[in-house]
Amino acid sequence: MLKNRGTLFLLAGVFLMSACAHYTLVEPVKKDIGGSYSVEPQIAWNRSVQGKIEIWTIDGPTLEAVHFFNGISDGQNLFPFHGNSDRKAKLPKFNKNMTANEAQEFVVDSMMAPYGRSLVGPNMIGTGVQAYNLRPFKFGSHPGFRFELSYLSEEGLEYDGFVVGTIKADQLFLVCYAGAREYYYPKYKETAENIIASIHMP
Amino acid sequence: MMTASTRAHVFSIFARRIHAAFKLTALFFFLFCIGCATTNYKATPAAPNLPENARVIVMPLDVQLFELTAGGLQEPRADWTAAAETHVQTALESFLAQRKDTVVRYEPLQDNPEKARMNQQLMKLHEAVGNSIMIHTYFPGFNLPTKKDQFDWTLGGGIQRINERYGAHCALFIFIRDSYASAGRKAAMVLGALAGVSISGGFQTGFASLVDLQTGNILWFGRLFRQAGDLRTPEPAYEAVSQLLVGIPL
Amino acid sequence: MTFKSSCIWILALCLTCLSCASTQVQDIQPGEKPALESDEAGLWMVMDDIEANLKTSGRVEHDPELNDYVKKILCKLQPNYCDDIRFVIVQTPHFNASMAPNGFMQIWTGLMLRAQNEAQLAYVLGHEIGHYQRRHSLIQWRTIRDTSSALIFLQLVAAGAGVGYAGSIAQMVAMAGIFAYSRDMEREADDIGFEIIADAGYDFHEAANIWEALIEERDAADQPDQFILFASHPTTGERVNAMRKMADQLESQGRAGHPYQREYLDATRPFRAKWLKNELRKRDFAASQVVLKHLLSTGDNPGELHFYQGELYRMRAKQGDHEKAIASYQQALRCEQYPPAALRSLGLLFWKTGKVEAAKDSFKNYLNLHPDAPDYEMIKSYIEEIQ
Repeated sequence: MLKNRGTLFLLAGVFLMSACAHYTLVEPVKKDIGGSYSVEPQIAWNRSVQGKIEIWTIDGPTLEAVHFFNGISDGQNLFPFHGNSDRKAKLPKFNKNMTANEAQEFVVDSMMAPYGRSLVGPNMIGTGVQAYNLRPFKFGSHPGFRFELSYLSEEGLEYDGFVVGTIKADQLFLVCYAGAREYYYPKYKETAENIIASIHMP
Repeated sequence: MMTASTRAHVFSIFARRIHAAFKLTALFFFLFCIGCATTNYKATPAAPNLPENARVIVMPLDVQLFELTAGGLQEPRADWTAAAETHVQTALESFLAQRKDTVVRYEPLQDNPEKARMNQQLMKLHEAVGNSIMIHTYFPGFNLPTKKDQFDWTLGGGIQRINERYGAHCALFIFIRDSYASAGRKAAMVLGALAGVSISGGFQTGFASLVDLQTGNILWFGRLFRQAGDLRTPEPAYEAVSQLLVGIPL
Repeated sequence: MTFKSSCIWILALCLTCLSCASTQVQDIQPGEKPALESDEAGLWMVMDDIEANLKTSGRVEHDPELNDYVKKILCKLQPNYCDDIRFVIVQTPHFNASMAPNGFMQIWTGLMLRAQNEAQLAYVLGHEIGHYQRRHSLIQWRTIRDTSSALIFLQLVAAGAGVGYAGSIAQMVAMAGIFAYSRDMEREADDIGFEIIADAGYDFHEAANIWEALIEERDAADQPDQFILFASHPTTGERVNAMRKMADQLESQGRAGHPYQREYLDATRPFRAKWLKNELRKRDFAASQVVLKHLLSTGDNPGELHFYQGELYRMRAKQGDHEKAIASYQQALRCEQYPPAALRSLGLLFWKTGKVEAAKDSFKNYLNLHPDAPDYEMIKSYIEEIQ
């Protein structure tokens, strides 16, 4: 169970995060997300927040999780990175004039970027990331986009996911549901679909 | 040759990897489990539906033994590992036989690559679930409120695929890493004491999980961490296995 | 010296000698397996584990034809080790190949993207075979192990003698020892690699060529830390000259070889798009430009290469890059074959630069050419938005 390097990075990350990561309960009542919009959780979740990223999970983020990215600004990278500045300069950056295609590219490239051990936050990183079925999506009442994902962890476990997003007031908002293809992704997929259908963004 | 860094490559593959892999595991447990019992297990509260003579698949053991050098490196020992694999397997089979269970050994599929790949995914899922269990039950601050005091973990019903050839009730996974201080290390410990410097000896760490092959539920998860024990000979190996399997519902 | 510290000195000296290993190792023989109680067997055990994990990890290129092609090269280079050596092709956009003591080789796709012909790839593989043959990893491990043992005694001795913590100086001495050693090993592997490819009928001039291309890339790169390999290798200029000399010498003896470029381009063509996409993801555009330049000079599959040139400009997005990208995509479209994505990227950039009619046309052409496009609905919605 601990034999893989990916696992060790996870534990190392856990060690680093230990001051920050802390799970609180989300009850199945309307919940505000980062002051930008609200959703109906459908069920109770375990919630952890790191900066602009909010994660809801039942069994832990490596098994399944809903990730809320709240207002990524122009010039920012997607995942919080605290490594050396040369590396940081090479990470994909959000641009406020991005089309949906470029936003998708931003997410995929961010998932595949080499963070080493300096990544703090969600486990939405993978190899062999494929994005498909990019189409328009109503994020609340805002014009947005949706695409599906498939990828592998470093250890080779297969994952599925979907991402919905919109750009509002020059900021990127994303909701991503991802989980292990075996058992976990299907387990809460319908719940996740209901969550994004309940997005209310003024 | 054209390694991205010769030094990093050689170091990280041989020295750091072994060193870090083991040290990190031990470090976490040392830091987070000061005062914990040396063995610790979690189990589903409901009585698992296992019969008196349960049929148990023992999955391929993941056991590695190291020699702790004077310089603090974990040097892998293939001969000790080979001996330990034999003794642990024997100890497991004898432990389970005493409880009237039947043991079958898991053999990876050779003839059907697609099925083998899907079984691989189950093995990897088991690792991911094991990691989640460790982080979210053993590390304070990472506990999941929805799980609260429940031990509720599963691989899902897909696990039945593994069982096609065996007709077993459950599967047992074992992972052990063990290190033993070399003569040089022991001397360093003595010298250290003389010079007023504290130097650690070897330690034994292990995990085990019991999976229900009908539902995929993790029935029991055991953990072992101590600075004693020896897997290189039969009797102490049996003792270590008994310690690791404390509380197992078989 | 006090009694206590002399005791420590004597004990330390004795124990340091106990851990000394002989550095005389023989070349590894075909089919040879180390004795179970040896330190070498321990390394094999760990590497076997890493090999098993890596084979099923998320990063492996499994394509059977590509793997067969590489296997054929390996067996041509060293038929004796043909059965012993296993390898995986790892999807990573960096130049690397490495050989573990148990005969397990990793070949990174960044290397395969940069090799311009089969002889260049063969040279790198031959170099790795050299490390394996001479058991360099085992020697290196023993050095680390023995040096670290010596290290702790140095520290203890220093503590015992009341000198204070001598760790950092001792550490530097140890590191310097290891670095110097590995440079010699690299030279040795270089020589063996050169010999092997010459004997296998490859053009031995290509050994210097691949190094030169790598130096060119490093000199252009924004991120020189990826090129750390230069720190522990013989000075690059020196190395290229050494290889040129060796090549001239062989040539003067009437020997010749073949680069097998056509074969290499044929075998790697189906993968180049994926490798280039991953290469650009690094966002070190100056380095990637060098790689792309060499690929463009082969003239192989130019539509695809011009497309990726366009992608480089589009992703770099510096002043004037939008126009450069548009020019590259248009060049791709003039080729016999090109990726449909060129039309999409063209559409996106026309749209961004205000040429809406041209954008609409490009998007329409994209959808016509690529009815199975994974972003069909989105592109359709762009067309509707423009209208």
